[in-house]
Amino acid sequence: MKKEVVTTIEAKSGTVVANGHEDVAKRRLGGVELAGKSAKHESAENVTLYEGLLSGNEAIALATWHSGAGMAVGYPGTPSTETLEYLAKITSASDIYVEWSTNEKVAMDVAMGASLAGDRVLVTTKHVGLNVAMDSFMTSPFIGVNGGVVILDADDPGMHSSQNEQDNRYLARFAGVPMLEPSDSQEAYDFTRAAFELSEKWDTPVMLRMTTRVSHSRSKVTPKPVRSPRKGEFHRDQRKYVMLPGNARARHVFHLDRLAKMDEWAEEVSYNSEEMRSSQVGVVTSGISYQYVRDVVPEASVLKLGLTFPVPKQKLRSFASKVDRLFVVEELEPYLKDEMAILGLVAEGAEFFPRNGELSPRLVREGFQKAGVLEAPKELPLAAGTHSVPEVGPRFPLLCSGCSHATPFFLLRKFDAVVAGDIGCYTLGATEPLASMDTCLSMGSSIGIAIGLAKAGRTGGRPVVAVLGDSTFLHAGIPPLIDAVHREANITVVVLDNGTTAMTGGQPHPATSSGIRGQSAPKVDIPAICSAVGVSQVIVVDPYDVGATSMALQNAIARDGVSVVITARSCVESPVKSRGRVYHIDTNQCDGCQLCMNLGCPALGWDFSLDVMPKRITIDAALCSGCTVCAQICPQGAILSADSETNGNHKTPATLASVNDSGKRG
Amino acid sequence: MASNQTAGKVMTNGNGGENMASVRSGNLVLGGVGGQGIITASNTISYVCIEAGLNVKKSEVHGMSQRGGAVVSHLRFGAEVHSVIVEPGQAEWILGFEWEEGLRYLEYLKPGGVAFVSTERRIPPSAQVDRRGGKINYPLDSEVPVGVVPVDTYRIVGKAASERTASAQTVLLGALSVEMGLPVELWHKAIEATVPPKTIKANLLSFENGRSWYEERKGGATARQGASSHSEDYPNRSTNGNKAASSGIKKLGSSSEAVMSISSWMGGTPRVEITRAWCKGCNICVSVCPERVLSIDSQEIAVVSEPDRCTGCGLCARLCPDLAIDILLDEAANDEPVQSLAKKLGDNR
Repeated sequence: MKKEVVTTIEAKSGTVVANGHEDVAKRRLGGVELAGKSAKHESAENVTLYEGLLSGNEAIALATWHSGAGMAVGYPGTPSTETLEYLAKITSASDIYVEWSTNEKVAMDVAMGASLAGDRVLVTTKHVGLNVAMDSFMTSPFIGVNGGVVILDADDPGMHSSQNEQDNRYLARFAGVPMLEPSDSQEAYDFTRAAFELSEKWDTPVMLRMTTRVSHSRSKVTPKPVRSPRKGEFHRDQRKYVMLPGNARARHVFHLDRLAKMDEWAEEVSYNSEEMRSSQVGVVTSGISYQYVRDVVPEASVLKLGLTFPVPKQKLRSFASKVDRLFVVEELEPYLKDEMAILGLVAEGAEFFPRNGELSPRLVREGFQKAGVLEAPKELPLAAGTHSVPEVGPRFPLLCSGCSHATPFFLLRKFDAVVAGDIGCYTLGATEPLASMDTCLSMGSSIGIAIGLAKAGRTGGRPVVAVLGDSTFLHAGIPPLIDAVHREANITVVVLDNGTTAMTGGQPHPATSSGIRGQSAPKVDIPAICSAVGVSQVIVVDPYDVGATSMALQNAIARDGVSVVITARSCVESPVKSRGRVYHIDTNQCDGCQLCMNLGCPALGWDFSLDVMPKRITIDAALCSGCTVCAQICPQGAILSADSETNGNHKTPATLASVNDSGKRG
Repeated sequence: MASNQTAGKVMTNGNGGENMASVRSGNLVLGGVGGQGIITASNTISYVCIEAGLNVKKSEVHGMSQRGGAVVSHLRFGAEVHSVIVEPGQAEWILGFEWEEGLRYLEYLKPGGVAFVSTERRIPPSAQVDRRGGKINYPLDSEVPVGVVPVDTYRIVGKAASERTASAQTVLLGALSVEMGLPVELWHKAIEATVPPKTIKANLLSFENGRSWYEERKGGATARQGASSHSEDYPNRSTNGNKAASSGIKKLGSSSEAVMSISSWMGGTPRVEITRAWCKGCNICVSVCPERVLSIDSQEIAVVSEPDRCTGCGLCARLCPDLAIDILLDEAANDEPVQSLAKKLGDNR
């Protein structure tokens, strides 16, 4: 314990260094500390100042840098997002190329290219993002690598912020790439460094499989000596790099041969550890589940797998023979259980631990109680009755006050449209009171679903509208838009252009004018893309102007064929928090009609100081962003800014701002 | 493998938080609303623990919670820490940065533990959906549960609740520091290292205010028992109107008062009446109704499809170009003739 503390303090002052790399290590370790304190544009909550306590994602970023990687790419997605952001924060452009890609497949391809040119590369993606990159991912072990390629795949058990909870351990097995599973931040750091070595050793990308809890929890990390950047260059090797069937057949044989060799190697790796304690109960586990098992059944023997593809077959057999009862504790699918079943090892666990959702110490404890390993609790574990807890209501996520997405959804509900939605903040448009979204499947799926709905033609006469964000449009919305034009689908596509990737915390994308480090970058033009693929009517409108947005939508919906409406207004929270004149309610005018409450704005609420019904409205001055939308729709003209006239025009300069200027506020 | 199903019941329940009498180990749950500085506060506590030579793990929920939802952070410290999340019934301390969000995590509190819960209230829009009845889905007037110490953070730092400064919530850390007992210098150092530089002074002041407030309070009564006797810390529950007003919410008294029904105030239940012969189906009333009471029928005439949702606001009647809509009051209790709501509203304005 004492020793660990000393190590950390030494690491802070930069004295833990490798021979010959002293200066580099000092600068880099110092850089971590500095980066935390000088973080710009960051809300206080996102800044971690204690460099010894890193999140799993931050540990991976640090290890990527310390492994001498030359590139890191990915697409934002919870829970993987912070990795590239942190890496960009603690390094400079001359250290390592860090950038967001247009989507995960592009990231995977860019990574393969850089690897062939000799760089070590990190690719970051959330679990469903790997589906997008799947085409390249599946063939990447055939081509192999030059510099090591590590794929950070962050699964989201419990779906904290995802549309499904698929278990990507199957994808590593499917592609036949080695997979490492860290269980805390130190392991995330160590395994990342190991993964780069393994990738080069086995000539294949390596998957580093994280889960939300490991990615987003923080624990102490002791860095290791910094490695100099890898040097290499591209050499032509068509038989390895050009996957014509003739070449691919040979590579498949190589791949199968490699799998057999990896099986043998898996027995010896240090990432798997057998911890023998009581011989009565043995648990095979990996990742965060290991930590829960250690807390809940501290006396049990544990085979902790850090390498979960390929699994160590002999080790599993030997461990099983040493214990009376053999358990598997794993989150989501029975992956390890099935791997063991192939070996003829029957393990308990699936009947005691849930197959859906996130595990927790409580669920693991209840499972071992059901299994009879732990005594059933004599009284309820919560000491029920001791804490009489009042009923609390749910607190759902909301669109922010002043969110530029509120107006389009408010209007679409009025137009009674069938709305095919997409993935982003605006998926919250599906919840009350906006409640104007009918489908949400996957990134970019809105336009394709809208085509299908319109072609099937059975929407009861309701117009079909696809709604997606700017980043999502670029990610996967362009091919279906081309399809819609070519097939003459009668749909309206609304691109909610807030100039950022908002849901994941505001990352730049190709239609913004900056890169991940804030450097300037050429901006692609979304209206021009729409026109170029043949959309005959593209309207750009400011969603803070309710009347104009209503006209634009009405016009587009009435028109035959594909129309695009781009609601352009920068995100109210990113890259900078924007605040305009604060509005208030004239309580003499307000008649409590609640129309403004239909915007779902968090700044609007009931005025509890007035004993009248229906409830009058009040505006929380601390939350009001001054967007003016509620003032524009108020039938009574009861929503005023300090200097607007009682019955005057509510169109403030904000709403009259140039509709094309999505990057700046009026 | 020798499978032995009868081997069971050999083990004791694992620790997960026992032996926590010493301040050298412990479990904390911090809850609040996005933007209140919950994660910064958990960073501060982590810093203190690490400086005190302890191991720390913490876990927080990201993702959709950033959009105004509930934020929770679990923090565990000790010589050896495995799990990153606290088991229910195992937290020595809970910090609630918002009243409802503090109560939400009470199931994590260990018997005898202390939950410091700010009396700041942020009633979410989803709690204000009963527009006709006016009921709110929020524990506004709940009894103070055992173990909860209500902390009027804004009053303690002498600020108005409407200011919404995150630094006011550092009062909670001041109170916590008394319970945790680690050297106060470590706390100062941790605050300086973890809060945004511009707010260091305000945070240190809040911390000291919270610390002395709680020390004083503890001197009077045992924190773990006397929570509910300190009504001055819990303005909305007491009869002290001034303090209630300062926290931005009017005292509502008993629940029956709070949930004044629309009929008791208006003297009847509002009813929309549409003169079908005058309606030309322009759809204006359907699209403006905030409660989505109206719809257009197969004959292109406006009809009342959700009569129970009508709040009697009269927007449809005012905007009808054909004067085809009137809002009437059905007086359930007596035999007075139905009267126009417009007149009644005029009387009450």
